[in-house]
Amino acid sequence: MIIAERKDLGQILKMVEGRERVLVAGCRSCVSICHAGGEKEVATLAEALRLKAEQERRALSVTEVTVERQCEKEWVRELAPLVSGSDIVLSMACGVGVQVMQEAYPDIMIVPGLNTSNMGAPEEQGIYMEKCGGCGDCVLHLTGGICPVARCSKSLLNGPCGGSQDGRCEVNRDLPCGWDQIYHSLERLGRLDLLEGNIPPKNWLPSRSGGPRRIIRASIVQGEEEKAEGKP
Amino acid sequence: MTEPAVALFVCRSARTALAGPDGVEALPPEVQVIELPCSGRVDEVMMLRALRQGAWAVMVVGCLDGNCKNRTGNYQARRRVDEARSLLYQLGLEQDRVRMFSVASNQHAWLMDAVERVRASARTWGPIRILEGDR
Amino acid sequence: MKAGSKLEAVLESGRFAVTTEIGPPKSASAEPIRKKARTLRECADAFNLTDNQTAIVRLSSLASSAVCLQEGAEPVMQMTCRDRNRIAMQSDLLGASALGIRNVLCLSGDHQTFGNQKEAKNVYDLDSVQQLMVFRQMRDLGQVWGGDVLEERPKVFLGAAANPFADPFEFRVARLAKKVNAGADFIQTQAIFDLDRFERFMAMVRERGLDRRTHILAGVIPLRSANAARYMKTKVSGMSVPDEVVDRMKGAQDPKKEGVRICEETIERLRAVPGVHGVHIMAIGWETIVPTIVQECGLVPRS
Repeated sequence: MIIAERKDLGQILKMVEGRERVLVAGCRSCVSICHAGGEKEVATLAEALRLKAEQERRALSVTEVTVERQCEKEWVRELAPLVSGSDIVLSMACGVGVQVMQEAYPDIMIVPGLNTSNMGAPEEQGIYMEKCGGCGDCVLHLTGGICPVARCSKSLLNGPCGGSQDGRCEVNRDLPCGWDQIYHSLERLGRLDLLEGNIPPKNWLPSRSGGPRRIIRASIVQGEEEKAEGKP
Repeated sequence: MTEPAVALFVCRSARTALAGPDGVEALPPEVQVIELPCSGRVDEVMMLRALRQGAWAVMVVGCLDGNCKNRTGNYQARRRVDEARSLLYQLGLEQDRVRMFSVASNQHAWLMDAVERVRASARTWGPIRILEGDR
Repeated sequence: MKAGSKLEAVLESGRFAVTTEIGPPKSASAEPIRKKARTLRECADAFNLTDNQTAIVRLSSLASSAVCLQEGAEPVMQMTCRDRNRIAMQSDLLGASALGIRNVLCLSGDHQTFGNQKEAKNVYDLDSVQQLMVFRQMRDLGQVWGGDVLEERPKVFLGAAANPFADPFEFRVARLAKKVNAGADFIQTQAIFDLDRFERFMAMVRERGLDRRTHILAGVIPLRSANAARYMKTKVSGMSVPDEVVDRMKGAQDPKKEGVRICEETIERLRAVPGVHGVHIMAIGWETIVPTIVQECGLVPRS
C-alpha cells in the first residue's frame, strides 16, 4: 500500500491561510491503514484547524468528508456539492488522490495535507516499512522475495556492499541490510544457487526513470465504437 | 485421423444462423455448441478451459457491430477473445485456435462456411498435446 | 597485457605489488596532489585517487588521476556507482583511457548520507559488478553496453574492492567470485587488522581458485592513535579490529610509532599468505608515513 504521513501543521496552516471555508477530504484506502488521512485523521485535523482559528479569532468553517478511494474519478465526482461550497480543499489522500481531485475540480485549489512516501507494508501498529521499488521489472523470484531496489539503500542487484555489518545497513544501524536478508531468505529456501550468476545492468525504462508511466490493459479498454454504442 | 473437436460459443440471437432454411442445425458431431445469453458472457476462462478439455479450436459467434441486443456485449466478447489469443501467443500456441465471428441471424451459409474453414485449419494444427494424452 | 599498466606488469610478473592512496583535496587547486605524488612516487607501483570518498565533494578522481600521471606516478582511478549513471561511467572510462590512465577501481561507493551533500539524489544505475561487466565489454569487445562499436577501445586494468570482514561472512568469497567473473583483474581489500579472519578468508579464496584468476592486494592502514583504533573498531562499517590491537595502541608510549609497527607487522604476515599478490597502503591524511613504512618493510626500491 501507499505510505504517507501528515504534513507538519505549520505547513498545512500556511496552505489554507486566508481561506474561510475549508473542505478536508480523506480516503478510506491506503492512508487510512497507515493512519495518515482516514476518517479519524480528517476529524482530528479539522478540530486542529478550528482550534487555531478560534485562538486567532478568525472565521473558519471546516467540512469533513472521507471517500472510499480518492484515486477514482467516480467517487471523487460525488464530492461536487461539498467542493462547490468551499474556498479550498485540503486533501488527506496520497499524492495520487490530490491530483485526481484537482483534475476533477480544476477551478479550486486542492492542497496536500500529507507527504506521500512509498509503497510498503505495516510491520506492526504504527510502523510502516518501504518494500517495493516500483521498478516495473520485478525480480523478487531471484531474491528470495525481498526487493533489492527498495530494500537495499544502494539498489544493488549483486549485493551486498562492503558496508553490510551484522545484517545492518551502513546508512543506518536501524535498517536491516536488504542483501543480508536476501542471502538468508535464499539460504532458507535452499536456493543460494540463484546468487551465483551476475545480474546484468538493469533496464530502468519501466521505472520512473523512463518517464511517467502509462499502463494499458488492452483487453479492458473500450474502443470509440463501443463507447458510442454504450451511450443511451 | 480423428475429426477436429471445436467448441462453438454462440449467443441466443446469433444461434438462428446455425439453423438451415428447414430450421435444423446440421453440424458435424465433433462441433459442440454452447449457447450463451449474449456473446459478451464469454470470457478467457471459458475459452482456455474449452481448449484444455479437448477442443482443437474455439469459435465465438456474436452479432454484428450495432446489432447486439445488450448494445455492447459483442464488443466485450471481441476484447476477451483478443486477450485469450494474446495468452495463447505467450504460451507458444497458435493464436487462431480462438477466433471471433460476427454474423447477422440470416447468414447461415456464411457461418457454415466459417465452421468448415475452422475445421480445416484445425486439421493442420492437430489437437493440443496435453499431459494425459490426446483427449 | 590488457592495459599495459605498471601495476599490471608487476602483478603479472609475480612480483609483490605495492599500491597506496592519494586523497584529492577539497580544492580547485591540484597542487596538493602534485606534492603528494612527488613525495610518494618512488614508494608504490600505483596510486589510488579516491572518488569523493565518504560522499564529500573533492577534486574529481579523473582530474586527480590525470595530474598524478603528469607527476610521473601511475594512477588507479576510483569510480563509484553513487554519482554516475552508465552513460557518464562509460564516457569517463573513455576519457580516462584517452588521458593515459590505465587502472580503474570499480566501487559501489559510500552512500551520500555519509558526506556533506546528504540531500543529493544518488544514482546507483549500476552496481560495481555490473560496472565491471560494462567496462570489460568496452575493453575486450570494443563495444559500449548495448553494442555500439567504439572507434578505439579503452586500455584499462580493472579492479574491484573486497571486504573480507563485512557480513554475511559465508557469502564474502562468493561475492568476490562474482566480481572476478564480471572481470576484476585485481582486487584491493579493506584494511586488515584481524589476520586470523583474513587467513580464513584467503583459504576459501584459494579453495575456489580465485587467486589464480585475479590479483589480490591486501589493504592496511597505519593507526595514529588509540582513538583511531577504537573509531575503526566501532564506527566504521565492515571493519574488524581485534581488541589486542586497540590495547596495544592504548598502552603505547608513542602511539604513532606503535601504529606504524603494527602496520609493518601486518604487512610481513600478509606477504606470507599464499594468494596475496600485493599490499594496498591506505594512509589518507598521513601520506608522509608511507615512505617510512615501505622502507622499513623492504618494499623499496620498486623498479
